Amino acid sequence: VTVTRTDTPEPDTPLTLRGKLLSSSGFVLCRGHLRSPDWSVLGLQLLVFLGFALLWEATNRLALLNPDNFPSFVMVAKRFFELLPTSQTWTAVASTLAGWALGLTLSSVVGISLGIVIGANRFLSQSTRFMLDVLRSLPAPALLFILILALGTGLTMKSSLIFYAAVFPIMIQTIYGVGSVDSVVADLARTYRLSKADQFFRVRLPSALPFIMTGVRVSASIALVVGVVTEFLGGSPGLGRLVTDVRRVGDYGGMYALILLVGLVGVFINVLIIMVERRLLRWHPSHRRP
Amino acid sequence: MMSRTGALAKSAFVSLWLPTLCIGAWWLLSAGSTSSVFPPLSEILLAFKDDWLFAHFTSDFLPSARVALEALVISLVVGVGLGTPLGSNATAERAFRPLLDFLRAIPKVLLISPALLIIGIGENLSLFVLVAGAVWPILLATIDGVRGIAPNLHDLRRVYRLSRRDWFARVAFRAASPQIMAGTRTSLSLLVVLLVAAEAVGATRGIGFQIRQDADGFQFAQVWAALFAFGLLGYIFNRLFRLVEARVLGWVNGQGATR
Repeated sequence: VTVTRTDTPEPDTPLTLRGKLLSSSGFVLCRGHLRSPDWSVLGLQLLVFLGFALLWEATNRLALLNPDNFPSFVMVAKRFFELLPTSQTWTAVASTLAGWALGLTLSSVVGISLGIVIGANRFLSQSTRFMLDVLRSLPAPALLFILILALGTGLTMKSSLIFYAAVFPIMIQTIYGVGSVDSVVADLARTYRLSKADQFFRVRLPSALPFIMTGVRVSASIALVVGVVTEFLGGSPGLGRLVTDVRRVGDYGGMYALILLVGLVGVFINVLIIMVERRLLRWHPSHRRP
Repeated sequence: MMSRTGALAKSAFVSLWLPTLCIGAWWLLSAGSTSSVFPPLSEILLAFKDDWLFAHFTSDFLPSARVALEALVISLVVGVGLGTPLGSNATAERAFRPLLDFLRAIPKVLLISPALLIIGIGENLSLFVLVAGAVWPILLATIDGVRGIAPNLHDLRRVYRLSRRDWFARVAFRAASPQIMAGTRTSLSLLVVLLVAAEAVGATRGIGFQIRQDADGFQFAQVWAALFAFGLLGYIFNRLFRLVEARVLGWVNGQGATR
């Protein structure tokens, strides 16, 4: 069984587990629930959501939290559908998604290509290990306070920060993946005298792909988090900023409604990434249909 | 003996030449810098020494570290506590999965806004936001880990007539620990990210509070120094985590324990 670690393992800690771990959500898609809807399960899932809404409503009605600060679920739902068709909301969604896509694309291109170069060379991968460890320990949002003055609050700054946060998980997974090709397969490729290029593109890269995709999947959610942090703290246009704006004018129902909307955007991103992953890894045992 | 020392020196050289080169380059390139945003490295290090060794160490560094640790412990207790029953009941797991996926997908930094209203500025706000973020990776990893327990271990439980408590404490938890540790590692990086945001907006001390103050006062050498302090905190957490991981997972294919 090929194993993909959910987080970003050090290049030197192979972890062999049974089955595949999935850190990001999307089990709904992954485990085939959507392919063949099971009505009783679907009913239960609806019940769970209903229970969540009821709990929310009760918290408000029984004043477990100050109702001024914690509006009723009905009110939040009403604001949600009022805000949903406004251009203000969709402009914010578009800004958030633009930063996410730009930052993630940049970090994938740079992370994968540098990761391949580093991972294919023992000296380089040993030399960079400590440095990568230190660099990825630095929380990206802390850089915000400097980047804002160097680059302003626009898309450039947001995607630079996302790039910084997202590039290391991808790079580290790529280094790890390139270094962990099955030795039997590698020997076989040599025995058949595949050219160096073929050995790389037909053996090394495909066997590293599951690891790379894990890095991309982890980075995709990091990218959203960091993007929203940038908007929230730094005032870049987007959903994070909009949440602050509606809170400042006292529209608390709108604030909760927008937070729920960002959750939906997050789910959308997760599903998107899992679909890409499945498409690229159709051949891989963990993605083949039983 | 000689060869061992030689090998040690070689590995030290291999892991240190690149960082040394980069720091050297930074030092030289920034030496004459007059930009306020990118001060010379020497000034940053001076500020780091003044601020974090040790003026703000007990007043800000330690409180930040404590909040993060407390949040981690609470997240572990809640995540493993809820994840174990959910992971051992397939129907419950499927019923709750979409809600969990949805709640997990909300970037928790946004919870700072309602927390400002409900909890108010202070360490409890940071604690709440950090737990709200860190609990999900652990919870979902625990569910996966417990669900993936090998069927023969379930047979074992019946054969030995283990009580539910013994089963969870001695077998299930242990068998799921590789996944739980993987989830914890993800939580760890989330914790530090959220700490920056929560303290910058809703705290009266801590590294995040300090960095915000310095930035608002355009003290950029100090901002960089606080950035280093955050890096240090993150690095310490990562190293500590690896020590714990090596202990907890020593039994999995020699994972960690051999290093």
